[in-house]
Amino acid sequence: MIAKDLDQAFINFDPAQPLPGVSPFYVQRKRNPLEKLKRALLRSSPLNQKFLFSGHRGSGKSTELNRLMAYPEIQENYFIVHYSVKDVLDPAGLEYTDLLFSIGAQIFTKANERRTKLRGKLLKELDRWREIIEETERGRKVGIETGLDVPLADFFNKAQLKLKLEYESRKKIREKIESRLSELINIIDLIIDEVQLVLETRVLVAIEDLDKTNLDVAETIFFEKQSSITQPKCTIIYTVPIALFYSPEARQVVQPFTQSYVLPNVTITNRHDRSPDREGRMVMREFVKKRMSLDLIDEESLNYAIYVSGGVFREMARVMSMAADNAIARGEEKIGKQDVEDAESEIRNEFRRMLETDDYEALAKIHKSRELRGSETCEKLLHNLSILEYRNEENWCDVHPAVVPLIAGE
Amino acid sequence: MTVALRLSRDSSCILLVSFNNELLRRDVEAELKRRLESEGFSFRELRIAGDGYRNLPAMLVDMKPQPDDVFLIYDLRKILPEVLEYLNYRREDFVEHKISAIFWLDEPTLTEIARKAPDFWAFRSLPALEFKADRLQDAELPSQAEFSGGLTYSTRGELEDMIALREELLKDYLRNRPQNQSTIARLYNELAELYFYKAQFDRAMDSVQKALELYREIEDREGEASALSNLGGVLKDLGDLEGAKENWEHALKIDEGVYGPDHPSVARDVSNLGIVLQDLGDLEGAKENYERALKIDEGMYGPEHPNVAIRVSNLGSVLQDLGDLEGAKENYERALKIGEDVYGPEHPSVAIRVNNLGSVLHDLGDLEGAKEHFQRALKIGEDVYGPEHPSVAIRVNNLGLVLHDLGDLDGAKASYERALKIDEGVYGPDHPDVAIYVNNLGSVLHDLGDLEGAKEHYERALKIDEGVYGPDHPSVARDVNNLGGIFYDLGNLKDAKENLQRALKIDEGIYGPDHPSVARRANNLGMMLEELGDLEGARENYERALGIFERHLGSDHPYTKGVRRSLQSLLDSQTSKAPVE
Repeated sequence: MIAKDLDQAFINFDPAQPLPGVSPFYVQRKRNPLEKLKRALLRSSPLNQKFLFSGHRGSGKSTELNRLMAYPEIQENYFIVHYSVKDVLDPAGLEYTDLLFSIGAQIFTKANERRTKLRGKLLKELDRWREIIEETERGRKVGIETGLDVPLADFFNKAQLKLKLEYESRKKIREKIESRLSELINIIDLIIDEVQLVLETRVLVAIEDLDKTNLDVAETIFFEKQSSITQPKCTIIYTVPIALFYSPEARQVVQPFTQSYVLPNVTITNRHDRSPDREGRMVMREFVKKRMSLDLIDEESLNYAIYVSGGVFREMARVMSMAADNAIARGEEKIGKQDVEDAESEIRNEFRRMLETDDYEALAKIHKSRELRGSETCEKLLHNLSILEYRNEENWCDVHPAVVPLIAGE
Repeated sequence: MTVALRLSRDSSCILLVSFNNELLRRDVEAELKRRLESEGFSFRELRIAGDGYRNLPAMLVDMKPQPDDVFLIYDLRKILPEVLEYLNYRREDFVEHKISAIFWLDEPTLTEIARKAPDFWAFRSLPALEFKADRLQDAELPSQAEFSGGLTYSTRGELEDMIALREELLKDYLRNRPQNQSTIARLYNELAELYFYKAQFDRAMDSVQKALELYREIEDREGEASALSNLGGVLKDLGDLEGAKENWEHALKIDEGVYGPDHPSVARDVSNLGIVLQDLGDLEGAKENYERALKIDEGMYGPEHPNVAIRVSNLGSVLQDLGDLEGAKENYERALKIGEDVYGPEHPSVAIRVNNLGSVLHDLGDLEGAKEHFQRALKIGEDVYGPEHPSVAIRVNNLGLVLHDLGDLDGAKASYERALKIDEGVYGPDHPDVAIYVNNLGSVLHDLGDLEGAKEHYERALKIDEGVYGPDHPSVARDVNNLGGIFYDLGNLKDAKENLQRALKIDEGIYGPDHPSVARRANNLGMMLEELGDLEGARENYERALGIFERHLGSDHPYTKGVRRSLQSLLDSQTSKAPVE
C-alpha cells in the first residue's frame, strides 16, 4: 500500500526486509540478469549447473531470488530448496563442510516437510551415516523406531544448530564430517536421486547470505574448496560477495561454476562527466513512488536523496526511512532537504568509523579515476560499500556519495 | 637328508639338523624312518642323559654300529661344552667306524658346534639345513587400488544394504526417468565398486563398462575419469596389469585436464599407477608416485585424513619391498592410527593396515607379533566379508607363513590349502594370487619332505607367474629359486645351479645389487657352489649375502646368522680358523 503519511512511509521503507516473490513495491532495472538465470535454469541440459549470484549488499539479491523462485515455470520444473545460511549456520565462522552439510540437511528437511515418501533403504543408509556423526556426541544414540524419518529430521536440525551455536561440538562434528566428506557427498546425492524420482522434478538449491560472511571465509570456501562445494548432483545457486570478483585470485573462482550473474546497481550518474543518468534516476524515482506518495517529498529533496543512495536500493530505502524519521521528529508532514542531509550525515559517520587512514588515499584515487582494479584494497572497500560498482557497457565504480566529502581534502 | 643317508651307506654320514619345534622334528623323523626303514636302514636312538655321555664318539663305537645303522642323537645340549672337545678330537672315529648319525639340535647348540668344534663341523655331510625355500608374499597386495566413490561400509550387512539400495534406485531410474543419464551412470559406477568389494568381478566389470559408456555419451569428463579409475581397479585385481595401467593413465590425463595437477582425484590416479609400477617391479618409480600423491592429499586435507592414510600405507608397502623395514613399519603405524581414529578398531580399512603391519613385523623377525596382527586382521575380514573372500585368503595365507616359521608345518599347510581353495574359487586357476598360495604350499611340502609334490607346485606357480608377468619379475625369481632348491634336494645340482643363477639375475635386475632378496639368492647360490666344489665362488656369494643382510637386517637376524655360519665353516674348511667379524 502506497504510504500517504510519513509513519506509513517509514514502515514501507524498512531497509531490512527483502520483498517477497510477488510485491507491489518491486521495481525492474536495466541489465537485470535474472531473465538469463531463469532461462539457464529452464534449459534441459547441462544438468546440475552451479551458479554464482552476486551484487552489492543491498542491491536487491534476495528480492530477485524470491521473484525467481515464484515463477510458475521454475516451480513446476524444480523442487526448490531456498534458505539462508544465517538461519541455519553461523555465517561468521562458516566452513565448507558446514555448507555442504546444510545442503543435505535442507534438502532432506524440505522433502520431509512436503511429506515426500523417501524409500526405507535410503533412510536406513542415512541413518547409518547419522550414527557415525552422532557417535561423536559421547555415544548417545537415538533409538530407531518405526518412523525412521523423524529421528533423521531431528538429527539434521540438531546438528545444524550445533554447528551454528555450540563452539565445542562444532569442532568435533566438523572433523568427523571432513574426514568422511566423500560419504556425505554420496549421501546428499542419494537424497537428491530419491527426491527427483519421487517428485519427478529436478532439485534446485538456492543459498543466501553467503555474501554476508567475512571476506576471508568467502575466499576459503569459493577459492580453495570450490570443487568440494560444487559436488552435489543438483542445481545450486550460491550468493557470493561481489568483492570476490575483484580479489587478486578472482580468476580461480569461476572455473567449476557454470556461470556467474551480478545484479548491478542502478547507474545514476554518467561515468565520464558525472552528469545525471536520466534513466537510472527514473528507476530510483519509481522505487520511491511505489512505496510513498510523491506529495510527501519535494523534488529537490527527492533528487538529493537519489544522489545519496548511489543507485543502491537498500541505501535508497535507508535514506528515505531515516529522512522520514527526521521529518517526523521535527513535527513535519513532508520530507525536506534538511531531513535528507541529516540522514546523509548519519550515514557518513558510520563510514568514518569503519574506514582506516590508508583507505582515504585509495578512495581518492578511485573517485578520480573511477577505475576498478583487482586488488586487496578494492576488494575490502567494495565489501564495506564505501565504493560502489556499476555496469553499463563497462564495469566501473565510484565512491559512495556519503563518503565523498571525507576525501575532499585528499 | 634321505639322499645323503642313502649315498653314505658304506661310509660315514653326519647330519646336523636344527629345529625349533618338537612336533615338526617328530614329523620329519617319522617320515625319514618311513622312507629308509623300507630300504633296510635301522634307526637307533640315543638320548643324552648326563655327564657320562661326554665322550660321545667312544660311546657310539662301543655300540657296534652296522652299515645300515643310523643313530638319532637327542639332547646334545645337556653335555655342552665338554662334548665338543671330544667331538672335535675324536671325529675320525666316525669315519673309521662308518658311523652315520643325525644330531637333532637347537639353534644355539648348532652355533656352538660350528664355533667350538670346527673340525667336527667340517665333517658334516651337508651344509646345516637352513636352505630356505623362499616363501615371500605377505601379500595383502598391500597397495590396494582405490575406487572413486566414497563408499565405505563396516559389515557385510551394510555392504549388502548399500548394493540393494542402489540396485533399486537404478531399476526405478531405468524405468521411470531413463533420460536422467547422469544419475544412472553414477549408480552403475557405484555398484561396480560395491560388487568389487564382494568379489563379484563379472558384475563389477559389467557395471563399470555401462557407467563408462554413459558418461562418454553425456560428455561428463569427471565421471568418465572416475569410471576409468574403477575399471582399472577391477582389471588390476583380475591380473591384467597392462589393462589397469592403460585405464589409469587415461583417467589421470582427464583429471589433470579438468582439475589441474594438485587435486585429490589426481592423487588417486597417480597412486594407482604407483601400484602398477610396484607390481611390475619398478620400486623407485612407485615410491615417487606415492610421495607425489601424499603431498597432494596432505596439502588438501592435512596430515590426519583417511585419504592421507591410504597414501602413507602405500608408501609403507614400497619401502617394505625396498628393504627399508623400519620405514615401512612407521608408515603402517601412522596409517593404522588414522584409520582407527576415523573408523574405529574393526573396520575393513583398519584390517588392511593391521595385516600390513603384521607383514613387516614378520620381516623383522617378530613372529609372535606378526601372528597376533594377522589373527586380528583375519577375524575382521571374516566378520565383514565372510569366509570365502580373497581378503580372507590373504590373511589366512599370512598366518600360514608365520606358523610355518614357528615350525607348525601342518598348521601352515592347512592355511595355504584354505587360501588356495578360496582364491581358486574366486579367480580361477591362473591368477597371480593363486600362484602365491601354490608356491607357499609347495614350500611347506618341501619342508615336510614331499619333494615331488613340492616340485609340481613350484612348476605350476612358475607357469602362472610367467604367463602373467613375463620372465623378469620378482614372483618369477621366487618360483625359479624354489625350483632350484628342489633340484638341489633331488640331487640334480646342475639344474639347481642354473635356476639359482637365473633367480639371482632377475632380482639384481629389479632391485639392484644391494637388496635382501638379492642376498637370499646369493646365499643359496653360495651353498650350491660349495656343494659343487667351487669354493671361491661360494665364498664370494656368502660374503656378498652377509654384507647385505648385515646392512639391512642387522647382525642378529636369523638370516644374517645363518650366512655367517655358512661362511665361517667354508673358511674353516679352507685354511685359517679366524672367526668371521
